[in-house]
Amino acid sequence: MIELAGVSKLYQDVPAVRDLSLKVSAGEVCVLIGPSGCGKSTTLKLVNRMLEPSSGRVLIRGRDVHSFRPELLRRQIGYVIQSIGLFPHMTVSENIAVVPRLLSWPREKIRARSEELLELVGLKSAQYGSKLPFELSGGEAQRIGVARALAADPPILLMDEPFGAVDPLNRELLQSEFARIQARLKKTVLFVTHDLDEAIRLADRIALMRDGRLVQLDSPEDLLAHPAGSFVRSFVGADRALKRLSRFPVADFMSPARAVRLEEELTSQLEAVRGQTHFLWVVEENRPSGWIEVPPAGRAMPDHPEDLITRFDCRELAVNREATLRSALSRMLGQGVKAVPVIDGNGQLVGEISLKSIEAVTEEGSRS
Amino acid sequence: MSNRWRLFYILLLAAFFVLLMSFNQLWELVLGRIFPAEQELIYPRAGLLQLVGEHLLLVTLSSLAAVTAGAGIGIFVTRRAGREFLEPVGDLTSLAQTFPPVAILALAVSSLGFGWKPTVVALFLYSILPILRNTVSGLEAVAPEVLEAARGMGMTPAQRLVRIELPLALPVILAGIRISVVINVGTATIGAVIGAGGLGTPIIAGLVRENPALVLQGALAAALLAFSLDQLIAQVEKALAPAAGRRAGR
Amino acid sequence: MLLRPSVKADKVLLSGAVLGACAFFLTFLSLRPNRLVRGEPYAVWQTAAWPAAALLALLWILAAAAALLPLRRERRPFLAAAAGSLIILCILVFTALGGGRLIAPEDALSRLSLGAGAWLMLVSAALLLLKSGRDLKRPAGRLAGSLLIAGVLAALVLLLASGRLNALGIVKEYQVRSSRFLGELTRHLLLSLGAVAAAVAIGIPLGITSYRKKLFRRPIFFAVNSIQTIPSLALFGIMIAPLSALSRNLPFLRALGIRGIGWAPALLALTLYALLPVTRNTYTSLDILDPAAIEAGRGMGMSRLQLLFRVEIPLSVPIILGGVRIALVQAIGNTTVAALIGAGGLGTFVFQGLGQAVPDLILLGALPVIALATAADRIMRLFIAWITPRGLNRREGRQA
Repeated sequence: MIELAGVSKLYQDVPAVRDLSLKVSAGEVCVLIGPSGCGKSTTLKLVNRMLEPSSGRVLIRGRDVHSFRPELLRRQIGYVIQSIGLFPHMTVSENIAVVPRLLSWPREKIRARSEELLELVGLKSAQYGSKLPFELSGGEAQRIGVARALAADPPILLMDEPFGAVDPLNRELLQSEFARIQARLKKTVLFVTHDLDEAIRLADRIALMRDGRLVQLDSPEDLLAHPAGSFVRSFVGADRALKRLSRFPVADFMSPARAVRLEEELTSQLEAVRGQTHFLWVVEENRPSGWIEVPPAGRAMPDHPEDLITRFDCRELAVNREATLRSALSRMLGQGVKAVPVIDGNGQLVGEISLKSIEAVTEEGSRS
Repeated sequence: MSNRWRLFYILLLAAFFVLLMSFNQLWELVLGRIFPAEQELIYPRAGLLQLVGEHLLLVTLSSLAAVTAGAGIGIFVTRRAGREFLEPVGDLTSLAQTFPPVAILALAVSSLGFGWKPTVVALFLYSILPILRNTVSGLEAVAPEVLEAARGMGMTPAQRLVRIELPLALPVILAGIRISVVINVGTATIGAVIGAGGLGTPIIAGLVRENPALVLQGALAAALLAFSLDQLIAQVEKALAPAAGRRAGR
Repeated sequence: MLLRPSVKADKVLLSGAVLGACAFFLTFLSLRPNRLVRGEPYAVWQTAAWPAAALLALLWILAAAAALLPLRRERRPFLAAAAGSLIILCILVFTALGGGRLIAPEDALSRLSLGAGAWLMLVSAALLLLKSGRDLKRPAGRLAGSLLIAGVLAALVLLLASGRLNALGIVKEYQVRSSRFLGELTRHLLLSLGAVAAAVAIGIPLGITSYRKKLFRRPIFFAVNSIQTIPSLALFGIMIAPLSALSRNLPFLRALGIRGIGWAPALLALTLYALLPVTRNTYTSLDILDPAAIEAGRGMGMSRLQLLFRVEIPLSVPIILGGVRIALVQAIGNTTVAALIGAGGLGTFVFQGLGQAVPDLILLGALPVIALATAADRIMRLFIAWITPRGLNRREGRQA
């Protein structure tokens, strides 16, 4: 779909990109990553002709990008930047409608598309459609930026550190959103980031760059398992096994949660599971608020089973189902526990994840 | 204040103004109370309304031309082609702004003679300055990421200018127009000295004949006109403010 | 002319050179047999001997060459500055010589004025100097540039002092009323400075009040903003009635010289006009004062007075002075109009000239006013730069 053939970009004899050749297949997410100054953003901008190459060719679907007028080319490519650049004088809907209007779409089609895209990025169109950019939070603005880029349904998406300006909590959520959207739309994406974990999580293939050159082009697993040379090894870091965990969402590895409901009689609930497990989660209105020790089969049931409850702050212990195994592991290590409850967006208990299941994943990884 | 109320306020102000200017008896009454000794209380040769009309004509002609020229030059020096002229034009504007408008008027007369033509030329030349300066600062204040996004989405330079830059710079440009118009009204008042007509005429006539009633008549009318125009444009500014979304980017 | 891709033509210098070259062909001087009659136009080559005229033409070509040729670093601006200064010098000298050539020695009435061509050439040369002044970065270049300008100014002063420019109408007008000129100049300055001083005395407390008591902010700013919209002539006119009433009823005021017309209403109105820049900038200077700096100061144990003198005043003074600068420049301009209500000042000549239809007399009033306003602006800026503590982002507050 996208091909860069022997592309170079020089600024006053200083090369920012040297002789780069890269092919991105249709529907693939290719992440450009590397230390700052390695030329990844420059490479991205060569695709939609925000910058012109000093030598080499850039091809889209086999056609040289130079055969198009730059403005017409860009209207067929979605472009998302770190600082977003929402137009402050236009509402959210108007922002999304920009490229369709440039393409002279009929009004009704534009309106419908606007609504569709807002739903796609997880925002209610009735509520957000007429908001102005200054009323949005960072995460919301970034989602609108993505929606705007997808408005005219371009086959290609160029993203330049799109989640860089957002706090870490929101960044993880946005990454999940993106993964979900990409699974649905299957766009060809060229993505620039400096965050290796983000790359590992989202990429089909990672292109590691250094000093304007392509150093390694591989899938995340292959990059982590077989780094090519000392630079890649040191860039990836020693904790490769740990990094792999960023790729897996908790939801895929969790087990059903066993819990007692505080609203009901405790003793009977405890009796039911005696011998099968030595602890249970405690939920109030299906929200985890602590754990309870289950007395082993031989011991007597105490008169006040509530004494067996240890309360915790759900926010400090539970992980969101969209989070990665990596954050789950880090949570477990931080709290000194071997399992944590998994909650959904509304704080409701949907499962649990244990150290054992994570170990299983890392073992599998080290075996391959 | 919602736009509907704004419109109402503007229309009310305009109606009140017109009414006041045509109400000759009121002026005579009030001025007669203040200056019981004077015989001639209001300017005999032309009604206030007519003088207001002459004044507005001077101001409108020169302001329209100044907006075109000022905004045009402002746009030019912020484009790539005109970037080299940005600093010199800025310097020239700052320098020219220290010149008193009267001096420009005087210079215009010494080259073009008397009447309303040199007045309009002088007004035009002087009122370009605030508009030019504000056009430049308004356009430069547009956040660069907004421009990058616009370019990356496939807008042509002309589309960027018309759909993004100008709407975002509009509040600042309008503020410049407001300043320019107010200064214009002031300078046009002095134009009466060189026979340009307008509300300065009764003031000058009063000064010449040592008739303070005439002076006050012209002065109050001129002050009211200036104030009303200032309010009018201020309301237009406020009406357009939310559309440009607070500041032009962060 | 071939251009290397890395050194492009300077469009600004080129525009200046082209404008000046075109102006070369317009009227250079205009000769009037007396004050009132229209003048006869003379071109450059009719004023000066043809080699001299050719020199001037060549200087313009030189300026254009400086703009187009790929010159290195400081050479281009220096060449442009040299060309500009020499052009101004030529114009001055030709004017002086023209007096000798075109007017018979015993003819006292005939006079010269600069024509459109001369003015335009001066403006174009000034543009060349302005641009090259900006482009000269190295100290050697800047020194050379300053010397050139000083040389031109010195030449002007010399020519004026030696009487070589006496054929100019404006000089003749001056000579007729030279003592009066000084008097009006002084009066003009006194009025402007006095008004600004009064505005500072009223405006700073007003600004402080509007900051400290939020309730007063709106009304205060509404008042000073509204005053600013009133046409200057109108405000002068409005001041006449109350002051003449006061003056009639209070004899001690009459004794002080306060009357309905004259300097009193003018001073009052000028003070009112000067209030806005001073008040607004005082408010802004307090508004932008970094609360963190104040908190740090208090945390360090500074007393209220120490805080005032060591932190708040040094930080706010540059901004307030910026407002004073604007007020002063505006006041100089507005004082010109005050002549209409009998306050005197340089406006007297402007309006006399307008009344008598003598352009040179108009210029005798208008040019010094422009010079005064520009000089006041420059001096204030230098002063503000000098007293601004280093490391402070010099924000004088923006103009209205």
